[in-house]
Amino acid sequence: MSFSQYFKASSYCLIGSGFAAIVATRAVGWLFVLLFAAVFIGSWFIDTTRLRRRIPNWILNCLALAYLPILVADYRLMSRSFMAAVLHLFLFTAAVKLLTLSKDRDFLLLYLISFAQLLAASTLTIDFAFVLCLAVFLFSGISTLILFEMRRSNARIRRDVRPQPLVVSKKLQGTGLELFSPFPAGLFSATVAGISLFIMACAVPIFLLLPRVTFGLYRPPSRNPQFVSGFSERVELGQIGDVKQSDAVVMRVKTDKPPSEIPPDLKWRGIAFDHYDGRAWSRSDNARHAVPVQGWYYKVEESAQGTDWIQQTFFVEALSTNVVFAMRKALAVSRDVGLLQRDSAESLYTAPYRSKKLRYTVISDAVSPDPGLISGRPIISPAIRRMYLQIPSLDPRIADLAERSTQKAPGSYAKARMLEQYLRSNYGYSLALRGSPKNKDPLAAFLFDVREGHCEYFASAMAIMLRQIGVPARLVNGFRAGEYNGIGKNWTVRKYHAHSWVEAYFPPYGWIEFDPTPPEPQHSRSALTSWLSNLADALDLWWWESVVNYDSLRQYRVLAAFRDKTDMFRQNAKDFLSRMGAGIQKALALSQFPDAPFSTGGRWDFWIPAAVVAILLVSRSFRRRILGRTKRVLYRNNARAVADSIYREALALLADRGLKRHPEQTPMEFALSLGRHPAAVSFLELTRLYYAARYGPVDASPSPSSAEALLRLLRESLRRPNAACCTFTTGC
Amino acid sequence: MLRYSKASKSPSDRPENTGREDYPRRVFPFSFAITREGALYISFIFLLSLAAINSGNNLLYIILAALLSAIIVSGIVSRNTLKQVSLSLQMPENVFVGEKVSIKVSIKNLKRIFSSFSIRVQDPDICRKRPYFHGIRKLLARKHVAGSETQTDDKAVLRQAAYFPILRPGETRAEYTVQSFPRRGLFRLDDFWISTGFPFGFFRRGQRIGAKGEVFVYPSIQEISSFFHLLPFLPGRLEGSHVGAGENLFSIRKYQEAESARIIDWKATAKTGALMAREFAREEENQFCLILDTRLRPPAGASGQNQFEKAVSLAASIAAHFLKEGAEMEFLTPHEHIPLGSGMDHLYRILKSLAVVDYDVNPVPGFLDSRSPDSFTGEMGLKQLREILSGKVFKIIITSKSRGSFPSALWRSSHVVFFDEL
Repeated sequence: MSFSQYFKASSYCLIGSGFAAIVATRAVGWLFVLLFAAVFIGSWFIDTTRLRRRIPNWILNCLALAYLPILVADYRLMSRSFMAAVLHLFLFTAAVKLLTLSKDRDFLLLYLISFAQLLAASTLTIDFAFVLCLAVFLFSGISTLILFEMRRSNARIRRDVRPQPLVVSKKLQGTGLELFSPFPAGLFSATVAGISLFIMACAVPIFLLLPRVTFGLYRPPSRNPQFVSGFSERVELGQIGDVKQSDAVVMRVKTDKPPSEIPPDLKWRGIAFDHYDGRAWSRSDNARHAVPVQGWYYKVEESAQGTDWIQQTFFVEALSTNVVFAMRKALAVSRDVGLLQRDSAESLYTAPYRSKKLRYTVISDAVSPDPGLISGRPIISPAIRRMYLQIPSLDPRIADLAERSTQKAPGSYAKARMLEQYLRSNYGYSLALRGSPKNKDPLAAFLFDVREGHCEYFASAMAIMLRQIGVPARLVNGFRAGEYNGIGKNWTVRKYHAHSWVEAYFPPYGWIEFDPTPPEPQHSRSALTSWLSNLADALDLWWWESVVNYDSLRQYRVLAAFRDKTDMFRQNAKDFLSRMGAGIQKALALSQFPDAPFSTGGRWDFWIPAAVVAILLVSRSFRRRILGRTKRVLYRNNARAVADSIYREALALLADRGLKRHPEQTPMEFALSLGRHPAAVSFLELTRLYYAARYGPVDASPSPSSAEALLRLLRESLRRPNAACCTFTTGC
Repeated sequence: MLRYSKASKSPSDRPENTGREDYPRRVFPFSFAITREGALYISFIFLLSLAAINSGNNLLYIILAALLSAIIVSGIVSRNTLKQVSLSLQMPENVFVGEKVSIKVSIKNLKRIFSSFSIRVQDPDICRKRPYFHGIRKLLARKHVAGSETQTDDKAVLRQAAYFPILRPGETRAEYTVQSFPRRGLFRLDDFWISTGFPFGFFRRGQRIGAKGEVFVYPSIQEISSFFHLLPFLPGRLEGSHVGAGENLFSIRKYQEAESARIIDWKATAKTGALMAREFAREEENQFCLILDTRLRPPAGASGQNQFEKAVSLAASIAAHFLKEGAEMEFLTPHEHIPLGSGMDHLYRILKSLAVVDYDVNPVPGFLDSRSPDSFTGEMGLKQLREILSGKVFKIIITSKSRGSFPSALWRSSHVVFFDEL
């Protein structure tokens, strides 16, 4: 692949990634998308330079002016959105430029438009698709910018002179790109990939550390909330069946315990209803009260009955309801839910008309009731009796059925369990609503005629039948646990997980859950689909949790965790070095010399091994220097050994710079072969001293200090930038 | 070749010619400059950071983090690109003013793993220019610094930059650039300046590479007037010619026994009736001394300097012509004497001297004054000087002295070219 081909491909990739980012936001009309895509693909095959030459400037200017009224019409009549109109303008400009690409500034404008599209997409979406577009944009942007810089530098040089490489491909002769022949596309791609990864790696700590201070002058655009029925103030019997048709994700939940330690039949409680009028459930008391705050949490309950608490973190999509879901029995809710209120039925609510995603944490008491502690005839307060024993005018067969099905059970709790089992065993599950919605008594129709229905019927039947036998009961709407995603370690709750169940009042536990609905048919998927779905879901959750919702509180937590880890590492390192010091002491048997400075003592236990580790970790050249000096100190009375040590160190310094002595060369031959190298003079002198020390009379050996000075000079001359490298020769 | 201790500097080093202060050489081994695109990039980062902080949008923070990270990575990568790079320069040994020479610039990437990209090789004297901040410097200095680039450029050996877009690990690439030197003189190469805008072109990082080398740019050689071709043969110009084994007829005399029959002049023999022989002159006519009087008569302004350059060029042209013809010549200036010699080596010795010769604004006492050569303070031997200035040696003198100021003995044995004739 030639340079120009690579440059064009890279530029198109960059332009395409910006376009893909705004398509992913779904803020651009499909007509514009298709038109631009056609121009984008078509311009690849057209000779745009020739086309540009044929089109006079006045036509382009007229085209630009002609779009202005279209822009106004787009904003006012068509898309009715300023952002959409601006995005359409970007696409129009980019399309015109793609067809008339000829100069560097055309490319620059396209790159800027692509970047602007990416910025616009960042304000319109928070989906994981954005990060994919960003990654492609980053890679192609780096590649394009590098190539663009090379192109411009080449053009600048060619303005003054036309340098010629020694070998030029015939294809490139006269193109101005002779210097780029041959172009190593593979190597260049690998370099760009390396730089991209490096940038991403450096960007992570920067992202984590950038201060999060929001002045709030700008609000991000709100999302269209998902409609979920069954959580309003009045719920018609059968309404929840509508919700169960859809597989849209409603929320994701993470728990601090694995599924094996979570109580079975986990549910996310939403809203409870106490009043049944024969067709619909509602709440008799709509009053809501603020929940008191304590620290970072809202304190929902004053005390807990058990010690088995479970922490759940909810990631709720933008829903049409402001109900706060939680596992029963919620003790505390984190303050990032925003406003929190509760009603008399222990349902929790946040601020109304929520149109953004919500993230909050709940701590629940997952106490399991002990039937032995529940009295057969519990004492129930008048308020609970009034609200939760209300029965409308119903078919008398319902009361009769309730008595018959529970007559054998001792005690009210046992009756409730028996009734639950009875409904599960004797009725079928179906989402189809048979019978006219205007049936006078839908419950009677369910219990005696149809004999099948969905969870709302089962729960309503049980709640009413419990009330018939004197047990206070209420209907609860919420969601089943959902599907557990092993990759993201979270529960994915979809609309079809919507569920109704019953809560019955049994002191001392209070409200206990009952679920009379038989098992629902599972939504089956292939293993691969399931795995891919889980992966996409986990990425989406991670993206939202760790990136989109990263705020100052989380930043503080990250830094605190980093500090803790650093402290732990330091402590571990200290312990390791101490153990190593003890081991060294033992090996050297220094403890036999109590007066020796290294014999005992915590100080030396640490510093000896620390010094050993430090020496091992420092650079090879520094290590060589230290060891060389040590050797010369030890052999300071032996001039030949000192000279030998200095000479070897000098050789090693030169070898590091690529100047290696060949085995067949004598020291003097090697010194002379350095020629005009900046280190040649000092090394030649050093070689002479070496000769004198090695082969001359012992009493006439040169002083080590002069050799050390020469070694220092040599090191300095090599330290100068690329000092080992320049030759200047004449005589072509 | 004798070189006097008080050799004049070449114009490229002459502080008076610059007319302004020289820019100091860089103190630090590398430089880091922001390009125009880089300034725009940084401005944009600033705006984006405001938007991100204002909105709290983490996606903007991601983009901002990536942009900031790109700056850090850019610095590291550009440093790595310039590391472990070796350069070599090859150019012709003999270079003349204005002549196009082809220079081969070779670069080798000594790294084993990493490639180098977008390397520009320049002479540091060329890239002292600061177009970006030049206006600000002018404003701050309050001095007229226009044209300083020209003076700075004049010192450069590598006058055209070389560019290497890609260097794979261990690869060597070479390029030819064609350039010419605008002035004669000694051009020293102390280092190269390599720079790169890699990766993004937002910043330009440069670094010095130590080097040692020098180039003598000789004055231009032109065709000399045909009059000069005849100079040694003008009658009456020479005194005390000697009999020798040359080709030119010196006299006709009686034939002596044992002489070669080839020298018998049969015409004269027929006329006189006795055997007559031809006697030839010694080839002293092909020996002469070229003298360049470097004294510039005041006012030594631009026109005087211009004349001096023409004089130097003429001297070079004369030396080239006659030495190519096989003559023997010596060369003399107030500060230098090159003894008699011939051949191309001798020519280049003279050209080297002419490359660096500079004019004197003050008179050199005793030079070209055979009446009082004792006052000559140069290191040359007086005997040697007297002999040159005597009538025995034919001289071609190029001088700015006025007509009539020459001693007659000197005048008779010389051909004088005055500066104002050039």
